[in-house]
Amino acid sequence: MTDVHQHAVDIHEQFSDHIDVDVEDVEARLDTLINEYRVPAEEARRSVVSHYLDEAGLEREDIRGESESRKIESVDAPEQWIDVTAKILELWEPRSESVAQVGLIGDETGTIKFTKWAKSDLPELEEGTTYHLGNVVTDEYQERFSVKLNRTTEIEEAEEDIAVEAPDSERSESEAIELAAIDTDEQWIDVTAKVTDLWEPRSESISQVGLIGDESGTTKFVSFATSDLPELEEGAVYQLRNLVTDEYQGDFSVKLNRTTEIERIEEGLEVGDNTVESEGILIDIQNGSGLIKRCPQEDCTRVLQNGRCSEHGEVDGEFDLRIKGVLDDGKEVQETIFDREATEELGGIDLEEAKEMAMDALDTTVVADEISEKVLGRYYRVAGPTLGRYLLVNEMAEISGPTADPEELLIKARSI
Amino acid sequence: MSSAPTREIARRVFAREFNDAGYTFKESEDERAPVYSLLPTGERANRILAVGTLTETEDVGEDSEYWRGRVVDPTGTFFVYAGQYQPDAANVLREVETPNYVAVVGKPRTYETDEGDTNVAVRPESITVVDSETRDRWVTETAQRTIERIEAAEEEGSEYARMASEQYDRPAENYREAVLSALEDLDSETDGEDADAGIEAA
Repeated sequence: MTDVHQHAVDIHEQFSDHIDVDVEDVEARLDTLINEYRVPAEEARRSVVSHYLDEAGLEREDIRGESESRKIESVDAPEQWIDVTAKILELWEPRSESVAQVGLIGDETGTIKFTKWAKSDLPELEEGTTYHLGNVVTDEYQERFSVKLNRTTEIEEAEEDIAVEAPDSERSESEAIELAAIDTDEQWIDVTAKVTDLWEPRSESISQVGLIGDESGTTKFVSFATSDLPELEEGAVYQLRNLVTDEYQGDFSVKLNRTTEIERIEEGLEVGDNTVESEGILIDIQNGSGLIKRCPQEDCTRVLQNGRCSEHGEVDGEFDLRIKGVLDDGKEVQETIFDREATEELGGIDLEEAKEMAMDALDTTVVADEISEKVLGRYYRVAGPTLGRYLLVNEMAEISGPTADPEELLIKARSI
Repeated sequence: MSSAPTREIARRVFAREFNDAGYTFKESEDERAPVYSLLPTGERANRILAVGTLTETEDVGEDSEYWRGRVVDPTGTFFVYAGQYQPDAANVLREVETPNYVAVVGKPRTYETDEGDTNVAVRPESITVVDSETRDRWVTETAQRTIERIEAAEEEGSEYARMASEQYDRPAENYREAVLSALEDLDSETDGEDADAGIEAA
């Protein structure tokens, strides 16, 4: 409760210059989200801030966050307002006109990507210079953090240079990517991956060869005897910096080399199958979607039919969410399965809410109905590994915009 | 792919072409074999997707509710009928406010009018309210698929293209014009919009 109050006071302070709102109103909104709908505090706070931004007609960066001084290593959540003292290590080519500068900054604890927006109208940062950056906001994309400079950011050149915990120049060009994203050879990359297989090296020049995998898929790796690197263990997860990609007959692999840094990390990692993509209109949601019950027996997880598992008979099932949906692009159909997480994202209903809905209606089918109403007849692009005829959805996006350039279609239609 | 019975693809077809697709056929003697409507551009259709503006709904049933909806695309109007055997779709037609953009997935059905003409309508499997972007996307997609069908009919002359030239005396030119008018209509509204958001932006 007191936490809610503190958040409310903070938010109220942010907006007190802009709109007339009392702390109680802010607190009530937060309370509903956090205590009634079980929204995590950070998320609830974000949502309430959005509400008031809307009400005040402001952009997120117009309100000053309560920033605190932080080290880069400690960045562990998006949308936090922080101050950092960091050195510009690299400047990259912006890929969009809305970005003025983009690159890598570092302090004694680590490095992080930064983005400076064109519209923020900030002074030019120079490579190799150390700055105090006041009021930057953290961001997260695919579990990697970055910081964004914005209109309220204060930039001041630091008197003293700082020593950066970072890569030597040789690795500075390597880029953190997912294995499935490897599409050229001789690219310097960083990956976090699990060793899924070790094979017998066929040559004495090779110390280890096998497969590594991350969430996006698996790739062959080779480690050379001359590189004198520590041995990798099967099943262990490593952060591998400065690998080089290779291609042979269309298959990509990675090579460890003398400059490669290997760091074992104590984290689980789900290794993905190679991902396929599909798009089309979500044309049907099939039976067995929505709120379902699974067999609780270890390693079973079969979906119950009328409270019965086809293997274990009558059991007390465990609730789960799932959508079996069909994507159709007018030429092909692709059957897909959205697991609980994906279903929550697609339908905007989490398991607890689904259970409550079913309880209120005394009927579990209301959940699938509610989700269908939101998603049927809309276009999606999904990606994930395939299992039999199903694509298991890991990523999804609703898509809009034309399927082809209308101008080109017009030219074509006129020419036939 | 697999040997499991394959799901029928939802054909993208503009109202003008759909309403001309009055010839139906089966591909086997089996009573439960799917019934196909023959699209004049030379393709069989057992399921279609139509996205357009639901402009009017009316209960035209006598004894029980039987809802008719008019779904308008840039080339014409789809007639959608839902009764007690399509309860979800009937619900939507009963409840939804018009005008509204809807996506209709359904089966082509033909019936004879009192004057002895053959009319084509949609028996919906689902009707959902969608936004204008979905509708615009459908227009380009349907234009694209229709152009592909016209081209394929001219170049390869598939079985269904031959069937269409026997059954219908309407030249493909009609449907090319439908495509042109749909695209010109769209072109005047959307200029230089972003193509698509993509997964990265999710």
